[in-house]
Amino acid sequence: MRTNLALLNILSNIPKTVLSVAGIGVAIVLIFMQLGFRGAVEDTATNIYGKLDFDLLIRSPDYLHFIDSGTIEQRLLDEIAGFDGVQDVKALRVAVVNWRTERGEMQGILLLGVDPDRSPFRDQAIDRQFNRLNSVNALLIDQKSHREFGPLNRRKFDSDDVGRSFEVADRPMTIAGLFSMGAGLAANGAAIVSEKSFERLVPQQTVQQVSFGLVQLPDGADVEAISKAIRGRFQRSSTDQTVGVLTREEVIRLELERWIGETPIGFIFTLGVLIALLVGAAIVYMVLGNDVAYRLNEYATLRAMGYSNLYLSAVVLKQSAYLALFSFVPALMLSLGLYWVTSLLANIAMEMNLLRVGSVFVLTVVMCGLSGALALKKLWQAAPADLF
Amino acid sequence: MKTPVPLAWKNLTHDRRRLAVAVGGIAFAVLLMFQQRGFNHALFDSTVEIVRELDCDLIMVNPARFALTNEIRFPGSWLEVAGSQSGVDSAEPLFMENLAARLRQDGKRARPIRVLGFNLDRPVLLDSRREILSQINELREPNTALIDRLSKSSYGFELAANAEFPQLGELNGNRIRLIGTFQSGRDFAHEGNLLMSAENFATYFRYRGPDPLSLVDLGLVKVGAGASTEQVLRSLRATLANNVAVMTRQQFIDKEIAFWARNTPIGVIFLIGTLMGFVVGVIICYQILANDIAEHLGEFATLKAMGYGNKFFFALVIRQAVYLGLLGFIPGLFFSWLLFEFNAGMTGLLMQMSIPRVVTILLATLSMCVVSGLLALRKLLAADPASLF
Repeated sequence: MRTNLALLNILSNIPKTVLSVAGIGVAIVLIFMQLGFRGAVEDTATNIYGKLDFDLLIRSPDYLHFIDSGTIEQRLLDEIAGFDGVQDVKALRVAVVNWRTERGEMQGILLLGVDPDRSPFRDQAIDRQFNRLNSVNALLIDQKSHREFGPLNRRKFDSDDVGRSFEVADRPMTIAGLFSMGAGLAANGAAIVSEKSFERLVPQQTVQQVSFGLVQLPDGADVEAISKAIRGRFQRSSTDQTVGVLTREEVIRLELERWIGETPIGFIFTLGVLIALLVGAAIVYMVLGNDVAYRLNEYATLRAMGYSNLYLSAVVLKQSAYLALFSFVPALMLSLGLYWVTSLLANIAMEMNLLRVGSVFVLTVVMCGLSGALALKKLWQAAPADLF
Repeated sequence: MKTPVPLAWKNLTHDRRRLAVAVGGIAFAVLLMFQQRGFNHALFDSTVEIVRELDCDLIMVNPARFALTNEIRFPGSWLEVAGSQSGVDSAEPLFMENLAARLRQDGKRARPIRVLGFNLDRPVLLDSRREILSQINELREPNTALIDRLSKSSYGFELAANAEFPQLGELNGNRIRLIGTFQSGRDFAHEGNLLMSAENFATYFRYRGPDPLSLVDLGLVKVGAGASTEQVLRSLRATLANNVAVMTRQQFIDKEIAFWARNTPIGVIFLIGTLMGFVVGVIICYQILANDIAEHLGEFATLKAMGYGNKFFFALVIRQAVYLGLLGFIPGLFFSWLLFEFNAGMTGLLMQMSIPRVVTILLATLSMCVVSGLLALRKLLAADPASLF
């Protein structure tokens, strides 16, 4: 028989199929949303490191996360700059200070202190703003700062805000330029100042104390070997380090462990995905189970006609595959729409990527297949004799 | 027109297996909604739990302190000013450290912990379990503290109910003896809590200045018997002017939650999750009701032909929907409760299931089922008696 029975079964009652597809689709959207939230957290947590220019990161062994980084001595960086194969070491100073809006409300802002002549950023659009930092009262404001920081248009800082003054760490500071970065999970806004104004705004951190050292290596350098050499130099004992020396991959991995593994965030969204999968499986089972029950006569007839169990199973499984396929496409579209809406409403970056699309598709097929297999149980009971 | 038999109930229950699947489906949607609301509440509740536990009527705080985690303090001398106001019974300091406090157990990494310091003679926590009071004399010893038993296990301390104390550790490089536990909880910003005397607090946080206790984090005001909280609040505000902000505990909690709600996407994320749970519920419930109607279409058409009107069918389907909602809600509530316990154990967050929250989800469940009932009803109303025969 060349008839595509599975497809015809599905198409025989379009409204019913639409409903089933909607049910499975909602479960898929649920999975996409939970993964999207989790992904947004991951992206936000590591975003700032993506903007910094380094092959090796030098930081305090007390480092917890970007805004609670501990400090290291500038002279360590000077020493590392003298290592074989090290091209350059730049310092970055980081602190959270109070930002007072015009309405008098306080916000914590991430303050980055940089040497304008030696930019720690990868993004040259940021570097180009540095010539505006020649006054100690000048700062660059991150356009991705939360609207609670008080932009004129109440949405985000733009060129209209340049020239406005805000009280930062109890000192008047003027917005001299804009950049785009995103402050991460621990702060809602960021600003760049010169090292000189950083010292004035954060007097408790002395000139000799920096938060990070960004090591640049020449192209083709052996990152592992150099990091090992630096580590060896500063190792006091087998367990005790005076500084942390990390490659880019290590930095990202540790940051994700910290935010996803050690806060409730990872748990919440992983559990969300699991529950969404269960919901999806339950819906598919209901849909297919009902369908099998509804067509039991037809299946029994087919069996009586000599079609094997194998054939009938293939029909049901194929049906579940079609359902997976039909549900996936609209669900993906809807999820993209919801990502967009959520990004807008929640001020977080929800971005779809191919890996996620692929893995959710696989999950959908598996989920539908398993529920299809469960629904088959009913089919085995279709005894031709009972029918007549 | 009424039938002598409870038709809605019989329709639902005549096929027990299908009923079980239906109830399971609804319970799932209920679970999903509870879960999302639960996390949403937990993230907010947990950050203010410590405030709820404070034994006071009014709270004094530096006006610039926009959130508890923003460690801006005010001079303790204002407490004396407040304490001398008429109607004020006492104004006690609470000292807090988070960013500058590192707790370490031998061989483990030092981790940040929130440290609370208070005057042992004027306990500032409600201490409903009488745990702090019963250990207060031991807290008078130098280098002692109580540890929150909900603190993260990664600190390395044994915190189970049968754990033995004292346990030794290092706070900011100095020896500390944990002599017992109390209970508070973790949140996004804090992985655990220590509680100690103000004197001990001063020895661990010398960086706070020559007199580490001269700046306080919160001032806890108790209003004297017979005085009006409202009046004391007003007179304190007038006296302290812009130097120190004063608010009731509830105002403080509301402000703290408002800060987190405004500055984090928590609210939106879990609202979307809850709505999706609702949609899942509508779809599941609709499937069940629509199937049921399709199956009994012949019987319904017969009833129609016998003269039963639309109103009767309307009431029938809605009743069926409500029964389904109630039947699904009960196991949903039970499994959500289990899941809440599991979540609380895994995250240390406060997963609370209060009556208003349960009622909210119950109402959502019922409206979910009624919406699907109304959708399914269209099929039934279209059933033409004539086409039957």
